[in-house]
Formats: sequence, C-alpha cells, structure tokens
Amino acid sequence: MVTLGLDGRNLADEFLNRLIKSNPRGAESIKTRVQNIAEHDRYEHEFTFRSVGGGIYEFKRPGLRLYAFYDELPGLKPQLIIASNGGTKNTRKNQQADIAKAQNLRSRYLAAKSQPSTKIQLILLSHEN
Amino acid sequence: MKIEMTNGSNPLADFFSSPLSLDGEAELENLKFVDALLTRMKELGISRMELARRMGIQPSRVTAMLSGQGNFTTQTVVRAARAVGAKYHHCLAPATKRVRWHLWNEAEVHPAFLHAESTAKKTAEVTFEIPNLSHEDATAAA
Repeated sequence: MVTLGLDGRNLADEFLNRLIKSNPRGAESIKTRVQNIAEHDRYEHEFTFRSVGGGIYEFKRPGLRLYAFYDELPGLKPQLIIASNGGTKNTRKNQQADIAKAQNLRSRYLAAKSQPSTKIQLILLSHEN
Repeated sequence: MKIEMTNGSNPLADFFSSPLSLDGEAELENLKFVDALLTRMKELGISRMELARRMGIQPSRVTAMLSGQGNFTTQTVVRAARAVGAKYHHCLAPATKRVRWHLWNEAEVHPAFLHAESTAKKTAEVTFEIPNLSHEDATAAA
C-alpha cells in the first residue's frame, strides 16, 4: 500500500500518522486489514473493505474509515493500493463527503498520471506490505 | 510520465512494516477465516440472516463475526463451518515454514496414493502349505 500525495499534501499519510498517536488499536486494526488485502490480487469484503463507487474502496472499522483505490504502474508488477484519505466521523454526511473527496483525489491522480510531463515518485521500503 | 524509485523510510512506513501485535495477528487469522466463510456463503447463496439461523445465533452476532471482531471460540468456528457444509481444519507449523493447503476429492485419487505411508510400512507375511511333504523333507528344506 502507498499513500497519495498531491499538491504537497498527503491526506492519507496525515490521517494515519494522527491515528497511530490517538488510536493505536484502531491503527493496528487497519494495518491488519492492509496485510490481509495485500495478499490478494483483487480483494473485496462486504464489511471491512467494500467498494463505495467510483473505484474507491473503504477500509471500515468502528469510527474509522480509510479510502483507497487500485492502480497499476508500468513496469511495476504488483498492483498498488493507493490510500487517498480517511475519516473518523461516523455520520452519513461526513462519510459521503469523505467518499467524494476520495473520488476527486483519484480522478486528479489519474488525470495527472496521463500527462506525459508528470513525474511519479515511489519511495520503496525494505519491507513489503 | 516518468517514474522514479527511491529507497527511503518514514514513521508511517515503519509502522506498517513492523510485525503485527498479538491482537493484530489474531484479528488477521479471524479475517482469513471470515474470507473463507464469505466465499462459501456466496457459493451456496447463503445470506447473513440465513447463516444466523443455521448457526442458531443472533444476526447481530453474525455481523460482528463477519467484520472479524473479537475472539472466535473453536465452537463458533465449527458452528459456522457446519452451517456452510464445511469442515474446519487448522495447522500449527513452525513460524519459519510456509503452509500450502490442497483440497481434493477422495474419489478422484487412486487408492494406492491415498494411504501411501501406511501401506509402505506393511510387511508381507505369506505361508505355504505343501501337501505330501514328509517331516524330514520339511526339516531339510528349512
């Protein structure tokens, strides 16, 4: 899994770093789910990782949502799970706003990716997850 | 488009690449069980309500179980397996080894391969009875 940074901001990164400090158990639970999903080519789970439309998938834990989408980069074999943003509010309205934000981030990413001038920087880590 | 790869490290990546806690690992095993259960439910067209009915538990408990929460007791696991016409298998292997499961139908395998280990250990015991052989001849033959 990677996090998506656009225009100098990385919402998923900020969200997860906050979560590790404020709710370590919730962060651990998200990590568990990421590990489980990373073992599959394409994964969908009715309750914990479901498609919410527009190519966006939702990691769902009580009071926690992390949004992500799949993409492939040329020359890079495993498919990427790109985390775009997250939310801690459980109200329907907030959730819809977060989903719309995720969809928007995804389309901006895809648009940027299709431009020949775009440079994608991947930071590879020694561990695989 | 230009793709650049750099080696690097940051607190978030370190968190995600560090080993899971005890709770996390238990939850991961729950999730794997739930994945198999959901696949089986889909194959058989069994809904959440139907699963609850077959397991004899409240639908709310089924929902909690399917989201991978809490501690699954062996009884819950066996109950769920039975509800979808399955059998629960587990395997305790050294942490350094990888495990691969293989499913097959006994009817599709030649009997010689089914119990290869047990048949290999069998030794032949054959006795001959030769009629009209005198006691002296038999002693001489031995």
